[in-house]
Amino acid sequence: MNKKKEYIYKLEIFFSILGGLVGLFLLNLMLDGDYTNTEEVMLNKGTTTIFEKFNGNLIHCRDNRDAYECISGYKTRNNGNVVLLLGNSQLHAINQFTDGEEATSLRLFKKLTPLNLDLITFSYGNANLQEHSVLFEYLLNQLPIKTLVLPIVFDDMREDGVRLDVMNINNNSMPDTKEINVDNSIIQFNQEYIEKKILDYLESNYEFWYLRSEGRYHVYKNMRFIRNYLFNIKPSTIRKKIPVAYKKNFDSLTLILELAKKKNIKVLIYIAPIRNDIELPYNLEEYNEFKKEIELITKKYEFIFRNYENIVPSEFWGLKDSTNLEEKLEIDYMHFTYKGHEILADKIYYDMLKYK
Amino acid sequence: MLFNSISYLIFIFICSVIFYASTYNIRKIILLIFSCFFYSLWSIEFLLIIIIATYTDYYLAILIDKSNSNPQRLRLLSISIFINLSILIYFKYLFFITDNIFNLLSIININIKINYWQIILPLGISFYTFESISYIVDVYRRQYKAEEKYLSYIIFIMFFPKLIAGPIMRASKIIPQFSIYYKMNYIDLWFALKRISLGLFLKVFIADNISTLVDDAFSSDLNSLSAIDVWTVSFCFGFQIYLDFAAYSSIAIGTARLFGIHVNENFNFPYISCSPREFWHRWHISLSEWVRDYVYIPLSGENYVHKSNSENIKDNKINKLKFYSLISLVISWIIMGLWHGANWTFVLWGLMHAIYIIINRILNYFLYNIKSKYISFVGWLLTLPAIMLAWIPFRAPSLESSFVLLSKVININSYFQLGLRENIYLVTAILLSCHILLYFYTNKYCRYNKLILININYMLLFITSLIVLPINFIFLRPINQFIYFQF
Repeated sequence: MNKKKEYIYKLEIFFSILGGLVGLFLLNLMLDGDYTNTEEVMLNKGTTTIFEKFNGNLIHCRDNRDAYECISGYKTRNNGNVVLLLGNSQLHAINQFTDGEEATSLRLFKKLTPLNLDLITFSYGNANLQEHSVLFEYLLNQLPIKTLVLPIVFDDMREDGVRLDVMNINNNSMPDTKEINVDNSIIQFNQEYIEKKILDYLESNYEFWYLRSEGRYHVYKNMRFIRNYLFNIKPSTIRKKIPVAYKKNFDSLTLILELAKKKNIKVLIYIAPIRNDIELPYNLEEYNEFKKEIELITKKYEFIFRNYENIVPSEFWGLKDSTNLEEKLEIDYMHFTYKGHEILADKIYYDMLKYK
Repeated sequence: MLFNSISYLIFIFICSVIFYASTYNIRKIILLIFSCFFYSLWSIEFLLIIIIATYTDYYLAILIDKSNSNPQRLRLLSISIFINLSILIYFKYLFFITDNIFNLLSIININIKINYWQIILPLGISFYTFESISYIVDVYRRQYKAEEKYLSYIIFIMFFPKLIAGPIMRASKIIPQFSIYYKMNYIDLWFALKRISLGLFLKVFIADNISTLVDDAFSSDLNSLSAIDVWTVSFCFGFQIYLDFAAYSSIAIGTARLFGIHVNENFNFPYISCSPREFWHRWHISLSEWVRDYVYIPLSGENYVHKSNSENIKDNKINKLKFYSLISLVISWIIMGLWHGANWTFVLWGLMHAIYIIINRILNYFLYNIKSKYISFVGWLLTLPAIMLAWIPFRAPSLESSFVLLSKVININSYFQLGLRENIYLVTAILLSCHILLYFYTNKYCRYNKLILININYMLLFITSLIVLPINFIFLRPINQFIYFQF
């Protein structure tokens, strides 16, 4: 190799190493531990995420990551039968939150406790019915569920697939079932085991390593923002029905209802509240057809159907930060302020009483 | 062991340190021990199969090499190939063969039922079996001298970077490299790190994220997909499998270079190919060369013709259209398909490629003296969708679902709706654009503007590292295995 080539080569190495170091430095600046979780990329600082606790125990969980806390909390309280509420971020997000405000889950929990009913809520961003179906099947084996409350959101019918954290719930939910007992059992000397040990060590000893999931959250969020910016996608942009995802979600709903019927569980299905003082971001024909189909399937299985789309007045819907790189605040169609949570909890409670 | 994991990075680090700290005499042993450990993390039992099979081939190769009697040499070669293929057929094709025989018999009312036992497919078996066969055939053809030392032969088969999913290497290329006392230099180290980083980026950031889009589409009711959806899904899967396998190959090539071993490239921008034939010079190069050298050429009796000999080229083109040659081609492609898996979907995939190449040969016969870049462009416009469409049976769960999807493409009425989430159309378009742009940048622009580009290159390297390193750091998780591990 002649000297000029060698010089060029060394410069290449220098610039690459420099780029890598600058990249890691910038990543370090970006990761500040202030995030909810990777999937909830639509939520941001205008919207606060609240997973409620009661007497120190979680009563509102997400998925595989914390399901055991809700289950063990219930077992500690031992307060009669369980009402299961499965939903999306509407249940755990409060717009323009101030201290002391409660989400639907806690308010409803407190109202149901005197009736010897224990409300357990599970919600995650953009949750679809395929995911609810997996979760419901799992929780049936863990809790004495008497009633299922299931909000249906047109937006979530566009979502497809089951996230890892939900999919793994059958294998990994309870820590005592996933721990490998080093003293008493044969150690599976395979890569999975080694990988887990290394990751556990790195996560518990190096904060920077632990924050990797926050890094993923930022990457996904920014990619979504760039997409929205380039294609001028806003909350008010009309979202069309996606036939493939819609059918899969509808099939999952049927599965949930069949299972509930078989297990003698009551079901209350409601069309989730949506901001209605401005034009809806849906094709109205498709949206109306969707509501009709949900009502028909619910009634076919002789369960209760309610339409809550108009129960939250316009003044209780908040604003959220931009989701497409622009500075201005955006209309939030899905999440409301504390008052909205109050109304929703009361409405569910009222309909459950009637149902009883 | 999965490459896309922190444990693998630690593994290669420890292996390299011990390798360079040891003397020349024991370096092969070090690599063998680490390769055995690498494989035994998946299964210790199947390690024995490799050891027994390699020892048999090693021993038979010596006998073939020493023998001067052609019939005896042929007998020994047949025994070796029989043993290798028997192992492969038992583990990979037994159920497929018996199922199909029983299905055929049931047509004439002979119903046989067998209580099947469980057979687990040993990881990498298709790859190392083909390497063993190529070795023994090369020795038989007197193209390579049989290895005297078993250690040299087993390390060729078991060298961990290429053990599970290739590239399928030839003994003549790899074994001599193990005999050189290699001293690490910064150029090789830099090359290795670059390839490993690039491979990880392609896998953990791109291929793994595309896989959710493709899996969602294939897990849906296939009847509800439109023609546009089928095209999009086929393109998207085409990119997923390309990036996934290219990522594996890149990490394998990079890791091998850490030990001074040069492993052949397996991919070269396959989706810019202007003909199906060119595609197979750019896609899974080691497999297509293997099938050409050990299946197609022996079957068809063809020879290579140098491009400068125009008379011979014409004769050769006529020969390639003869019935015997075409039958050899179809057989080779069925073998190529079945190599990927014991399923009729892979046979269909192979047949589609065979048909593409036959059409290509016919067109080539009539158009061979027309040289125009427009022909190349039209060739690319026809080749790309044809190749992508062939991925449908490759990925579809059954033959029936493959036909459902393929029939959508020829149904004009199903072109007027979109059934999938917007992201998949967007991601597919971005991937295709990036692939084409990257090809023109690296192969056209860089080649002709080397001097001007030096400064731009530094900037690009800086930006690439700025993105790739942090992305690898945050996305490195063994959540998905490589697609080619199942073959």
